[in-house]
Amino acid sequence: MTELIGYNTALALVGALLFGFSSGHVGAFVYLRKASLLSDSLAHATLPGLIIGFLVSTFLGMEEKNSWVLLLGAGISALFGVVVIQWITARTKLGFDTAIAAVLSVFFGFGIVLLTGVQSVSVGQQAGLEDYILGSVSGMLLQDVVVIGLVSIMCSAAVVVYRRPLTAFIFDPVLSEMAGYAQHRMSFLLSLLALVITIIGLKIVGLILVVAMLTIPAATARLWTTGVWSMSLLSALFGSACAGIGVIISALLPNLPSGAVIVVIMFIALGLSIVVTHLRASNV
Amino acid sequence: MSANAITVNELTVDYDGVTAIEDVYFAVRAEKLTAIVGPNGAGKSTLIKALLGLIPTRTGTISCFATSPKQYRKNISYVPQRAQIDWEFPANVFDVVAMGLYGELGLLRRFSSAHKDRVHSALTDVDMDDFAMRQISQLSGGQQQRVFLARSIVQDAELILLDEPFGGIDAKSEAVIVDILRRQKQNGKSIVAVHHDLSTVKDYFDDVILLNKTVTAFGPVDDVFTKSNVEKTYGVSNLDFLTGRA
Repeated sequence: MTELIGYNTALALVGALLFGFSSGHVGAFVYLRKASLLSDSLAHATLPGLIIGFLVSTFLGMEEKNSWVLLLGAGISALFGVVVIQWITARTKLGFDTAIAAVLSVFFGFGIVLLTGVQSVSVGQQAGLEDYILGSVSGMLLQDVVVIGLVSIMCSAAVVVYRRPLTAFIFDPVLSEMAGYAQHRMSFLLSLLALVITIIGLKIVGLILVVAMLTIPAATARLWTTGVWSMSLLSALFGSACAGIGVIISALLPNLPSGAVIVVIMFIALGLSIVVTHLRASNV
Repeated sequence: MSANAITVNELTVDYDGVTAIEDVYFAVRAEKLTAIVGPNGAGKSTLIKALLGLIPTRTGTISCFATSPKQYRKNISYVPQRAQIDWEFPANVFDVVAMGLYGELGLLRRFSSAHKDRVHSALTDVDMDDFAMRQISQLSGGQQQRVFLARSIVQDAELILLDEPFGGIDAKSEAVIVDILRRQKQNGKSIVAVHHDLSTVKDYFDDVILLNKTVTAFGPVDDVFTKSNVEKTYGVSNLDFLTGRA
């Protein structure tokens, strides 16, 4: 395989397959919780932190590609965004959707301002930054893949361990509370998983499209299945397959950003699923 | 003399910054069917949430079989209003009843064939075992309610709390559900239900709690569900047609 597609693409492929699996796995629960928009705003809220992380790492004289400082910044920034959404919802009369839209656009707008500033000051150095917005697997290193792979496996393991309380929490929160799993803990767990998936997905699909990883495979799997467990597994397999195919295509056609290619492939799978399940249902 | 399932004293609960119920006191007799009755905004749902230990109370005590509801949670099962549930959720009837065992199963214990038998036996109790593999989106309102009753049966709790079990259900299903609740009572369960239809209180229930922010009266329906008490609770007169002879 390595000889066919090259070492770099093989690395990216492994990362994409594992990431696609766990994002589909977690995404099934995000989808059922109807929290897709929240994850989207979380993803957009990573941008200011990403740029600030880049500035900090440059200021400290680190390698410009020191992605962990950038991802740490992205994570803090997204967490702050979630806190702002929760504060607005709890303390003002504004609705949840308004809070999400406000945070998404304001954080992203602020991030773009910062990005433009950085680009005008230090031309050339910011080369790596755009990769986090649209996704690029071309420069992926072994250490990136190891971390993405391990974190993906941990997220999927958490879904397996907590599948019962998560299911009960989404279907009937009082039931999960009575069974000893407090609603705020389950809500936090699901948000945390979505956050972690978003952060490790920045490199592969980019922040604009990472929400698709959490949503489209789940929606596709929902069409084919009638239970939470089968749905989450199928969603994971769809996510993995689409991410894998997307990475290979974007390696063969190097000018295409990997995130966009993956999303287009997922959309094709969703479209075919809609048509086939619809035809099947009308035949019965 | 039978013990009390729930005893509530001087209970005041704030909800969304407003005092929802104030200085509420009552006792629920064990192994009886008790209705909570009152106008909209009377604090019925708040009372249920407080009984479940889901919201903080400002003052007062709730004891449930002589322990606090928090410790006793595992012995209370709750049947939510049907409208609060997303019936498009990917689950069949069996899955929903099996959720009643999640507390007992914990995170990793295997769902054994003994658990499976318990789910089927609870479904048989509500005459829904033939529907075990049916998607919940394809059930009628009455069937949905029976599935939730099966879930509370499988939980095997001493106390069953129901929020408007007859809301939006046809007369035939209502009779079936009343029958199931009566059988659960005979099995030693104590049952408390928020109820809206004043005309059926006397037929369905042994006891009643009349609530409008405070308790107007509580006790056996024959003693308490009188015209004057109901008018006092609802703040209107001429309710004769609802309470019958009284």
